[in-house]
Amino acid sequence: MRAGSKILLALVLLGTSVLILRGVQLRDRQTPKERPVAARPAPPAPAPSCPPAPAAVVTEATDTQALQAAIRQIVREELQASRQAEARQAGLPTQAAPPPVPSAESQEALQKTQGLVHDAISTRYWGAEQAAAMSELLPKLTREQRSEVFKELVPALNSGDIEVAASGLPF
Amino acid sequence: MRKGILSAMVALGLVATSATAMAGFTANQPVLVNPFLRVAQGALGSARNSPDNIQFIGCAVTDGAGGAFVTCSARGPGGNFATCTSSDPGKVAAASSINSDSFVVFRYDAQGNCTLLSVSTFSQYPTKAH
Repeated sequence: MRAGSKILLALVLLGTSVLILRGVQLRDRQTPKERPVAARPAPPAPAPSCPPAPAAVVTEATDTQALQAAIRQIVREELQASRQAEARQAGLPTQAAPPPVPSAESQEALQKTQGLVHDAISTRYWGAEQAAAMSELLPKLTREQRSEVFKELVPALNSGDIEVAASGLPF
Repeated sequence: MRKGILSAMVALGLVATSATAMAGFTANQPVLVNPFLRVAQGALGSARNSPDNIQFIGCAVTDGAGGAFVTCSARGPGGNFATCTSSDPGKVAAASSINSDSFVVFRYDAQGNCTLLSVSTFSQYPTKAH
């Protein structure tokens, strides 16, 4: 069954259960006189001081609440799965685990790479020494840190704002 | 005597012709870098065999704490330089398939992300002579 059909079915079930619950609540509010005779159980003489406990009604309400909760859960799961499938089709990143906390080593490497980049921007020069230092530091960075460094450095190298004097790969 | 010289010339011609035929189709692909179109291309063998001491093209795959990533760079004979990076597994795999006879094309965006990496290895691309 497709995700859309499952959601539709779940919504129909949810609506039905809401109607049942409301019906039960309405019936509870009714006085014994208002209740239809056919709906009454076998009429033992009711004692005014001790009304019959509506055990069946309580059970029904509890079941309805559980059913509603289950349906809500199904709807939530189906919606989430549907959104993730759409995101995958659109090539967007799905809800992923949060990025790992950078280690002390990667934080230190990030500071050094940022120093290299800032120096290069101010001197407008990227030579063999900078390339070698960067190539040594880059593997220590997390993916997010690496992206941060590249975002600043690579466009400046391509635009010529930083002159690339290093022969071969710049890092 | 004249017949002998003629025969020798014919034989030499045949040898030369057959040698040319055995070489197959060749296509020199020097490095081109267009910073306006943000594209670079070239055959590794052509770059290496070029008479200038400037042009190069290639990609490097590096693995590290943040996973593998690829860096492609090129410089054309006129000095134009281009580089891009990507962590996309497809591009990392493509870069890993480059060899010394490959022809490489890469495109990149304004942020320096590789948006395309094409690697082709055909017989017509020159091998490195030295």
